[in-house]
Amino acid sequence: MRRLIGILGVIGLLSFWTLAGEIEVITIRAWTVGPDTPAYFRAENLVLAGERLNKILEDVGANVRVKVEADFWTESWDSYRKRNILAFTEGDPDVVPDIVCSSHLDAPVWAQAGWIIPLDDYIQRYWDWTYADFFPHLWNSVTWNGKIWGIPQDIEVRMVWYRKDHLRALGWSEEEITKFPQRVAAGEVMLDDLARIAKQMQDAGLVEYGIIHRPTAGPDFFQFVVAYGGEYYDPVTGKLVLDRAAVLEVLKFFYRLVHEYQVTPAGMTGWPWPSVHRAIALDGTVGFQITGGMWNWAEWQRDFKIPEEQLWETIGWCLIPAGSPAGAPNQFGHPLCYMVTNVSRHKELAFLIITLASSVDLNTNHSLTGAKLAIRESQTAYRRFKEARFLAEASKLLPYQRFLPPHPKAGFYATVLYEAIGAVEAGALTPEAALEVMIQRLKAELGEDIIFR
Amino acid sequence: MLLFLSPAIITVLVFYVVPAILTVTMALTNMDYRFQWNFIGLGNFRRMLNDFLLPGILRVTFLYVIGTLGIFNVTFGLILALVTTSVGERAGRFFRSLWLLPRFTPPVVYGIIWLWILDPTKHGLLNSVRVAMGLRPVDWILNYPLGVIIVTNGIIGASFGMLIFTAAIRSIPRELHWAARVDGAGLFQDIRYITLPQIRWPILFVTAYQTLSLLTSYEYILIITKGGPYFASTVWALYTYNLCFGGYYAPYQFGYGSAMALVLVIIGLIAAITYWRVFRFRAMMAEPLIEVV
Repeated sequence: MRRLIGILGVIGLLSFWTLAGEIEVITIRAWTVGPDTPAYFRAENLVLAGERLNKILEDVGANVRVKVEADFWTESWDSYRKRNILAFTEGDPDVVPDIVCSSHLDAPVWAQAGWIIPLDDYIQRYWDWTYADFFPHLWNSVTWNGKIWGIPQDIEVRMVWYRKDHLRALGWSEEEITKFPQRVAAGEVMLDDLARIAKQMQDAGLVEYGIIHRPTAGPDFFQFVVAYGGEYYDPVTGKLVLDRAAVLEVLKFFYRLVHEYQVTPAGMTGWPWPSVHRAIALDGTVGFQITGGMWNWAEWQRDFKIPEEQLWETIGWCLIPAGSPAGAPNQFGHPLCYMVTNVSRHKELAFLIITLASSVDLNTNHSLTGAKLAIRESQTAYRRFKEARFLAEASKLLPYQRFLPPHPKAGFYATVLYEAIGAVEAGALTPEAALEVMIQRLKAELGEDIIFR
Repeated sequence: MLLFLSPAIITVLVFYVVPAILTVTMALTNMDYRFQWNFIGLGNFRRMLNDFLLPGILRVTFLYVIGTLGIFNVTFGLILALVTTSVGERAGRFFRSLWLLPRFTPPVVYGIIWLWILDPTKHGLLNSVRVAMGLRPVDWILNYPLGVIIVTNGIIGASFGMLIFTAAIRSIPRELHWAARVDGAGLFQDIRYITLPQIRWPILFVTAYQTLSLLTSYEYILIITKGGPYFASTVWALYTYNLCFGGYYAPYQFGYGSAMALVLVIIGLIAAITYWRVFRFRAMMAEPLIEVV
């Protein structure tokens, strides 16, 4: 009933607005981001939502239509954020879009600046119709200062990718390979075990490098802090946390990978992204990629033209293993969300478009093409979603999922951790020195916003 | 009079004076992504004194500028000019055009080409040659970060010197070369005693101009090495850029970044004044004492 009232309310408003005369077209502008190209439904779904709304408007004879102009950015996160921030500071409603889609980590930053609006009231309006069905933990990722600032658009799992063919070549049976992820989840296989397996692959001449990781900063590296039993956020005070012992263990692990096991290139942080993808998925010149994400599965098919059957044959995945008995196997999610801008002239309408774009079938378009998981419980029962083997298999990692806290400085923290790892790998700093450098940089930038334990 | 001058005055004001004033003012604030003018006096400059990354970055900047300038922009540019003016006109024009190609290439494309050349895996151009010879691939950026930024910037920079020097060499009266040859001068003596003294001013101009240009350049470094590994190829200008816009999660420290940019301007000014005084630019730019008709 509330759903009906909601729709009729907006339609009534629009109809009254243009009671007579010509049909008025209201333009809703949206900026969305990949940067992975298969995620284009982040934009396309908003356009489809606009078409659905127009159909309803036409059927009820309303004299207004919606035109959704959705832009999809594939260049880089860095340039996308820059574009948004420069537009926000301009504050011109003809420049700033009505809807922006970005990382959940951007929500508190942009909220703090007053560029986006809290959505609690809007969500309540369509709660029964749409939002009651969202996975509850997703709301935590977009909540800051007690308010919800974004509508979760997708969620993914991050994982360790490994080459099944190389494990076979090492003499592993199919059963051993199949059970490997379960052993990781049970804590039987730890990070150093991974390094030892990688070393075996390398020594057997199967790979050039046993283990590689992403060559850019990202939330992924906090997974290793958790793997060593560390914390990175204090929910009581809302402050970030640097857990000295755990971070030192992380830095020592990456030091061992490069300088003791010698399975990771010392210049890993200088690798171009395509080389990382090609090495793990196409050429198999590495054994493990320890900071993968499920969207890679779609990228490899779309951008590297690797048939899915081949991926099933050669690639497997598991959680990030525990590093020590105190730590836990885990994986991080990085939800994206739709936000409504403060200067939008059509906030109500923008939110309605987001709500319609969050429907089960449209969001499943995104899940299937972009290799992302469901945001709604009913989506998992939806036929097209259920039949997607990869999504179903990857969903099994969901119970181990954590998020970076939506803190305005979480991104800076992630960058400093990544740079420290890069320094240790390159041999520029010892793990102990890298930790001290991290502390100094975080102290200088975050001040009271971080707790050192 | 003022009316006629107004387009120039407005241009200078809008594009030179206002940005300069804004940079100085922003350097006195802790402005971040919210663009708020919170004045903190000399706080950013105090922070600079405590920034433990800066000594290393200053060292890299110095080596990068001196290296690129000394090896490529002046020396190699000069060699290119000398060689391409010594061979036949057609061949000279062809090789000069070849060396100009990198300058015509958009920076991103040029950077991506270098990323492919230096790729640390066997797919990189240099490494594919090594692998074909039975050698292991080398991580060029990790092992030679300074060398990489000097070579990649120098190959573009050399063409500037090449053009200026070519024009200067061409303007030397041929009679001087002929006279030298008649007196028994060889090729190298001709260059040493005729050509080089005649193009002293262009050499100094290229040195001074390219010093300032290199001090503020960072775009190829950003694309090719990202300033790494761990700041080993981060120059002052790139560090400033990164403070404002760089990285996966840009810090948007516009206040501190402006203070850093201001220091770079001061370094540039000192360099310019040094060139002006030490190399006696004034004397070279003065009216000639005698006029040759």
